[in-house]
Amino acid sequence: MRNRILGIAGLMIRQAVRSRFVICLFVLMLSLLVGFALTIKGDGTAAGRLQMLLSYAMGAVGVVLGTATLWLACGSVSSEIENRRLHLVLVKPIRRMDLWIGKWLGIVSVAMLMLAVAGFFLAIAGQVALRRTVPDSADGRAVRHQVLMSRYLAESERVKGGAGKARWELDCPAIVSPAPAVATLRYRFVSPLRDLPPVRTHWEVLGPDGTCRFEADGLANMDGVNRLDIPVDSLQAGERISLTFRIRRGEEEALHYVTFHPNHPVELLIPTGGFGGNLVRALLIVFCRVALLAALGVTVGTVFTFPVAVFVSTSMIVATLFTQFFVFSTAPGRPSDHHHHHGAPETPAWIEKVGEDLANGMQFAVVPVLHYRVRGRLAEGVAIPWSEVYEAAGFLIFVYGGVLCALACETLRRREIALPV
Amino acid sequence: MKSWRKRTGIPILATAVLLLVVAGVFHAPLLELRQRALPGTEALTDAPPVVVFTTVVLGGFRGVIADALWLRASYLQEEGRYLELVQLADWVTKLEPHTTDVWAFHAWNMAYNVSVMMPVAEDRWRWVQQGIRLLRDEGIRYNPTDPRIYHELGWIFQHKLGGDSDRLHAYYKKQWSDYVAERLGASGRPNYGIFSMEPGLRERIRDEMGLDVGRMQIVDAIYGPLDWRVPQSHAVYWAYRGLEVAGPEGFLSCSRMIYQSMAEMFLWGKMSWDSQGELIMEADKRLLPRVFRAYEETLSRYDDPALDEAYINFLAGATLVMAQQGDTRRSHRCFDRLHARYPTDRTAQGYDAFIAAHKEKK
Repeated sequence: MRNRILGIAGLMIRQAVRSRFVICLFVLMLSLLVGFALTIKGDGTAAGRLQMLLSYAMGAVGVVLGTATLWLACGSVSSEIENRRLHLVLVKPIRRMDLWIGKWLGIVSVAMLMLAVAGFFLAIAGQVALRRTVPDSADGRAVRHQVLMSRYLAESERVKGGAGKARWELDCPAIVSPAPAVATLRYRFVSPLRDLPPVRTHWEVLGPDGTCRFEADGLANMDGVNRLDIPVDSLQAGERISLTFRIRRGEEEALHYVTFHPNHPVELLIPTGGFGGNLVRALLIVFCRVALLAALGVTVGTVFTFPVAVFVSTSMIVATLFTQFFVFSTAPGRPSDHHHHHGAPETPAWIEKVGEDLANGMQFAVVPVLHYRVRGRLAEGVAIPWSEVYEAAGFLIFVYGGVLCALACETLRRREIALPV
Repeated sequence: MKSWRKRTGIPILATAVLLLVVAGVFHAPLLELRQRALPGTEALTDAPPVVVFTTVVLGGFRGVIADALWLRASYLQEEGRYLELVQLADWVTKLEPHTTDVWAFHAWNMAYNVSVMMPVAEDRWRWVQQGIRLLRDEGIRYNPTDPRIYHELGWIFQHKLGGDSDRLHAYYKKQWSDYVAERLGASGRPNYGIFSMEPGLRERIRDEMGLDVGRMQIVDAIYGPLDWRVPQSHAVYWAYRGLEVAGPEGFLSCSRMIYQSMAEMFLWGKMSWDSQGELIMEADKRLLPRVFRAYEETLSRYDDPALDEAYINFLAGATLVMAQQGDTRRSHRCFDRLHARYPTDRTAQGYDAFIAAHKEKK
């Protein structure tokens, strides 16, 4: 069985190479990556430019590779049915599932190769950016410690803090990297007016036993994101720590209280590893998404002719992307406008019920597909854990891919391949 | 027998060539017609390939793409993710290079809205500079004949750098002063004779500050002596450029910018820093005759009663400020001009009564 699948995969790869698909995709991706590297503008800093490059390049690679893979996958079975090459294959002792897996495997091998090229390019770009900065400059430190880094994003949980104090608790990750020597605390206030004077702050990091491990006074801006460096030696792997905050009152200060932003919780970015590992994990998640597109393309290609398959699969992707809006606007519990009116409701209850059930169903089916987003996190140096990679592989490749494979096998079994086209 | 492709190939090719020739013949008259009907929209001759591509190939779809990018910029800004804004502003403006409002909005957004969200002064200053660069280095290049773009650029100098609305205005003034002093000399007064002797200096000023030395000299002769370390000097320069392109009908906003900036420079345009690095702003009294000139030029050019109000306010204010500073000679000059141009019962009672009335009111 393995030999049959590998044989079909090999034929698929050979077909992709012969049709110049591989070389065209390679040239397109490389020109995109080089184009971004040469033209992209950041916020005027080396770290900003590198972040932009990583974010845009990952996005572009995902889109181009996804589109190309879908195209190739749609044609893999449908064109073979059309030009009757598949007849020669199906008369041999090959199961429908072997055919599907072989085709899919061939396509994702090409995608994997392209992702490896993109990964290599981005790794080089990171090193070039690092070498271009002065190591001890603020820019150099930002590139090294904020971008080319994997940092665990610990979201805090607000607890009762006592008079004049705010308090949060958060869990440290299982591994805390000793380099760089600092973790970064991020927090935002709600400001009623722009450009208010900064407030004097006092932050403390408390261990699980309540002992103070680190404290710092500083100034915090009322607008934008505030950052505070916390030494990593005050954090220990796997423990639950507390953060406390209070305003230091000076004579001249008018502000005696601040409100923390409700939509942007206090976060602590704790270094856990290097950029290379994070890049590999990000690319693997992109690969899982591309693999799902390949599965979709091959399956739809078993039902329709090539142009129709492309149209149907593209429509399905567009519908999936728009589902978010639909689910959001009809989600249960979201107050709709007519609830504010008195008297009879404008929409019959059964329509609402069907709408809600539909929204729930779509949410259940589609939202996991859109859940795995990596480019922003990679660019910000936020860790993408292996658990997320396994989860993405499980969901996108095995669950969704498995369902699509079953559908395709059933279609191929029922379909009369030899009918005139 | 020849195949269909071979039989039809030559006539199709010949038709294509013929159509190309016809299109080429019509091209020049069409361009001329467009230039006459829509001045300022002539095709860019030295635009980068990206701009040529987007403006020609995308056609009407440019607007849709620009809208999508603009929506993304707004969303990111709301989320507090400012990193992409320079890139998005660059793309949006390149998609709509001849729409001055687009340039003005993005420059203002970066210099005003984004900058104040930065907790560190250096970061703030970088965003203010991004706004200036967007207009000065690119916006003007694509809209050289629109006075509004010069006014928008001048406004950042006059208000953001020159005014005190931003909590860190003193920091901006210091940064700008150091930047100019490095290029024009510690006094901020350029020695125009050196420009012809030192090769490359003229180009350096143009590339790094966007200033044309020839025009600087003219502006200095009309409104100076200007200290170019003071942001308002640049506001005057850019407003002057705006008036140049506006032609004989003028552009009130630019004229207003000139007299306002001149008045500000006269009242507090002499900047220095004490030993603790605190900004000290004093009156630059040499500029008084030039301020009169700026106001009176504007009054003679436009028919707007608000301009008289502005001049009255300036003359009355300057009379009192000079009197407070013990400069009775200049105070008298301002008062005399006020009485000569806008006599009232208050001024008819004489200089001493005018000052006394103000002190009493205070």
